[in-house]
Amino acid sequence: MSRPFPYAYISCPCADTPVPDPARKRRSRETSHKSNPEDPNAPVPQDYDFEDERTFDPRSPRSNFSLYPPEQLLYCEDCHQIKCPRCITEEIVCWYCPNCLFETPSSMVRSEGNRCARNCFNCPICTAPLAVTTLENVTAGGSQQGPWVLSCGYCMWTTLDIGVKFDKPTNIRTQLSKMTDSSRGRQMSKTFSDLKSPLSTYSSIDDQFPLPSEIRGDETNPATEQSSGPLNPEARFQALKGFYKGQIASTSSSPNDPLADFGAGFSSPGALNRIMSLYTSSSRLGNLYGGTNKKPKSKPPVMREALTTSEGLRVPAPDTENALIRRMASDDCGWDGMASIEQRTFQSPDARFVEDLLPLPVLLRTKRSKRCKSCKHILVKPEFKPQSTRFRIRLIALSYIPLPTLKPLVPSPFAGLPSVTPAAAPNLDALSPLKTVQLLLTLKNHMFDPVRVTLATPSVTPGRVASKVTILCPQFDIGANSDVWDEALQGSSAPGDARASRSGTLGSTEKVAEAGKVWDKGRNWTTVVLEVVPGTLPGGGATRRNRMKQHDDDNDDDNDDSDADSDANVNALDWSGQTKDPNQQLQPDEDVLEIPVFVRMEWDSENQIDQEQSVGKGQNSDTVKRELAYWMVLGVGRISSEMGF
Amino acid sequence: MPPKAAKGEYIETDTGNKISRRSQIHGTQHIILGGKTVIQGEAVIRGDLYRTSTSSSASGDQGGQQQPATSTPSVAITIGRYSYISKQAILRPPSRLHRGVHSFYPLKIGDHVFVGERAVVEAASVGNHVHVGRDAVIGSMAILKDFAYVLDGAVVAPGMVVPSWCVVGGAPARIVGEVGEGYGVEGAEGGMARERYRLVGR
Amino acid sequence: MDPRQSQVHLKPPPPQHVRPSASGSSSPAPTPRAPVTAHPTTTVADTVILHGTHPISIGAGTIVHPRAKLYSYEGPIVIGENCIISEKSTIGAAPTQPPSLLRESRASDGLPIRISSCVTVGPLATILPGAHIHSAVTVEALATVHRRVSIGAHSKICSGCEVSDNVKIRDWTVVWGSGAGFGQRRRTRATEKMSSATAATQGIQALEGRVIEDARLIVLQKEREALVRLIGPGGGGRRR
Repeated sequence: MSRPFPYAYISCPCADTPVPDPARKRRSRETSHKSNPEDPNAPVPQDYDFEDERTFDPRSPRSNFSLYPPEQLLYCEDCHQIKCPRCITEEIVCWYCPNCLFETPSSMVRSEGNRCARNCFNCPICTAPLAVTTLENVTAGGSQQGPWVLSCGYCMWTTLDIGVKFDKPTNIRTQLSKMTDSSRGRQMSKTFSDLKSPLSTYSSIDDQFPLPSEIRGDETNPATEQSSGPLNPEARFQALKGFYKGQIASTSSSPNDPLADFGAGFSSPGALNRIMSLYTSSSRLGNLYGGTNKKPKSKPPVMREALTTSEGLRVPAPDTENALIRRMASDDCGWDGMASIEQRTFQSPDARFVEDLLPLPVLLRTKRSKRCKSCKHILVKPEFKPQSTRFRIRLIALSYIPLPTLKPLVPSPFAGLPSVTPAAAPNLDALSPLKTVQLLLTLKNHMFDPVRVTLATPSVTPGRVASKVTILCPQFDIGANSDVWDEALQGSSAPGDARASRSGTLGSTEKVAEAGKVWDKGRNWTTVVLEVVPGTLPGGGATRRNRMKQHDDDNDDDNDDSDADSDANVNALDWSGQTKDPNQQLQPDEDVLEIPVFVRMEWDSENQIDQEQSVGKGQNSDTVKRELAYWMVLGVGRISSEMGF
Repeated sequence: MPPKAAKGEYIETDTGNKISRRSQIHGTQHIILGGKTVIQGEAVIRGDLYRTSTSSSASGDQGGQQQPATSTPSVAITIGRYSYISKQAILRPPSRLHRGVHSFYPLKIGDHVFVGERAVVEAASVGNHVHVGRDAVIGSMAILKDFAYVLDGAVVAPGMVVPSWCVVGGAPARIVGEVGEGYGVEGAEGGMARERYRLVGR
Repeated sequence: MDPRQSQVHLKPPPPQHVRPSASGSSSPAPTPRAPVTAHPTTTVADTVILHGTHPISIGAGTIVHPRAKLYSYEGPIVIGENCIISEKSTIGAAPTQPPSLLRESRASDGLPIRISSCVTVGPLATILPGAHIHSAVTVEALATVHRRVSIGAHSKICSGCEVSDNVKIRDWTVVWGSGAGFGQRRRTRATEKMSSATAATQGIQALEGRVIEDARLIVLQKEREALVRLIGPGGGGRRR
């Protein structure tokens, strides 16, 4: 879900730093001071030596995994850290059907196959929800009698497409499963009893292949049910599962796990040990192969495969494939008659044609509570009821970190530019290269303590398209999120003014962005001005190329090996302007202007129990000085290839 | 249409609704706006498709559930506070045949709802803080619960229910994800309604 | 629609005093009002735009919702009986050049749009000249039917789908999915008694798939009746 410009993403520090320690934070403060562009005696970008002090590159492939929209982030009060979806564990609070919004008790979830047991179905063709409709409703007036069908309001599929109708409008899933498992109810008991057939208990090779007479004799009783049709896929799966369970149990060499089922027998550490010991101890190997004749107990356990229908074997009729192919090739099937791969994903493996597709009971969804992975504290706990949108606990990052919003400053007459007409807001989807854009960055504090914020950006954005960035006021305070009425009581005129100027249209005519001064300030928010000079795109011209080559060295994210070639090409094709060199071509989204901003916030908070987390004591012992630092990325816009004027 | 709106494009009502003069509202007496709602130009709102009590009396075979209120105009569309109907969007009450009678049902839209440009909403109910992207189609009698998020161009099938916090997209729409827990917080994604309202008409 | 007029009225104007052609008549270069022939039982809302040089004919029982746009610049438009044309749908193409420069040289029939009976055209749908839409077709909201397309009877073009130029769609076809390219899917609706493995094992006496369509058309009929009560002559619309 990409967002329209401008946007602000916040980087969860978990991607790079496992545990932040106060020492690291203090170091970052120094760098933020150094890279502060307003600090005249600061040599700006040199201190990239430390691994964790490197400028955050929004284009680095790893950034994909750490950047989140602010509303997706949580905050752990114990770790004092931003928590992204990767830093948390989830626990299911309840299961519910997204269609009928009824809860399914957790005891039922498994038996219902994670699907709604009521009347909720998805269209097997297009996945839209199906509605239970009666045919008599319209044809015979008000009477609600008569055959019922499931019909899709989107693609107009109905169960009549597969020749199915229902006698009553309730318990459709039961009715449907009765139809599909036509033989199930009758056969189930028998199937399971057959699993206990003497065949499955044989474990020696000699006994595993019974005499033909035995097979025939055994098949005589399933033969009757076989005539009624083969097992449906579910029953077959059950039969096979039971059969293999029996096989594992009977072939299992260790007497300790007679109850071994699939899980315990094959995926347990014990099984791994057995396999590993096969390779490590030659004596064991000798036992397995050499000791076969000693006693029946140490015989190599060999499993056999299913042999009868009741065990889940299915032998397709010899001409099945040909019949399928003939049907596919026939005129009344055609491309549209074939079930697509997506459609077949959730269907029986035998479903090839659209007629074979059955309505799909709706998959359940879950409400989940979330815990911090490191300290196990609960961060989010929704209310239990499926329909409720409230939370018992909800520690979202937005309650702690200032909410960033970015907005272009409508270029009113500011320094040097004569204002001919009231210019419109710059088109963020096509920013002209080298034309200064001013942006308003508003940080809104949701904490009840005032916050001191220090922002830092690299003076030039990382990557090939190097845009210059200046934050005119990198250090400022944001007021506390106090009572709304405080603002009203402080002065009635102030909020109106602030709002007007914040919108960037009114009151900004005389206002000029000044270095070192905040643009605007409200009760719990502060706006500062960002000045951005978008860089030029590759393939834009010679002047740009020189600059690009300067920054080629910093650019370490791709094609290091082709640098030599590219340099040669650059020299050779410098004047052509339309080179085919991949280095000259724009990579996808390389024209997106994203600014990494390092945010460090300090505040005095109420003293809590965990003093060891605090950085330093405040003036009085009741407050603790806290700080939090993170990277955020401001998506300003897309740089166009044409030069503006 | 004039490309540049005249000075006062929006009319602000007593309750703070900002309604474009170029909006195309039909059957105003059947529409209830909760206040501070924005309706942009060329948005069509079909208040004239209201539920008639005559249709029920004409059928004659029921009337138990229906209000016999014939004098008061029935409500076709209600929109809550701080909702925003973008340009060229269409709001039309859903209709269906029930017990042999075809009637229109009220379209209820909650607070802080955003309806994108050229979206067609025929839902039965749209909860609070719902986002309907541009060019999205909400089919007849669909239900969008609170904090549902419909991506641009999605086609929510008729009768579909989109649970709270779910993101739906595609044609036909499926649940493709969930919005974060912070969705809907004032000022963040899903909580921009007041800001949006304030900027209208400036 | 008309800027001057709508600035006068806060509410949309009461339907009675605007004629469909009036919206164009006030603009400096008068847009030609298309010659319209409509059956007495046709309901055409007052805010419908009927522009163009070729004739437009609308059949009996058809309902044209407010704000629908019918442009007959490139050819005549024939709409059959019992259709529903929803709001803001566009039938025909708006003139690409100012109306004063209209091509008179075009052949008299041009690219006709033929819409048969019981067709539903959804909100914001677009049907371009040359389209031939057979009976009982549904073109849903925001769908686009391009030039010289033929859509077979009982077909459905789902929301947002596009049917490209010169495409012929068979009867009983549903075009669904997204857009015009690879996202688009098609399927054929069942019309007869269908059988499947499931049904066969149950021995279900299947109904013909047609009954679904019959039911849908009855619903459509009732919807039209309800609409006539609401936006028909009593409810604000106007019959011809």
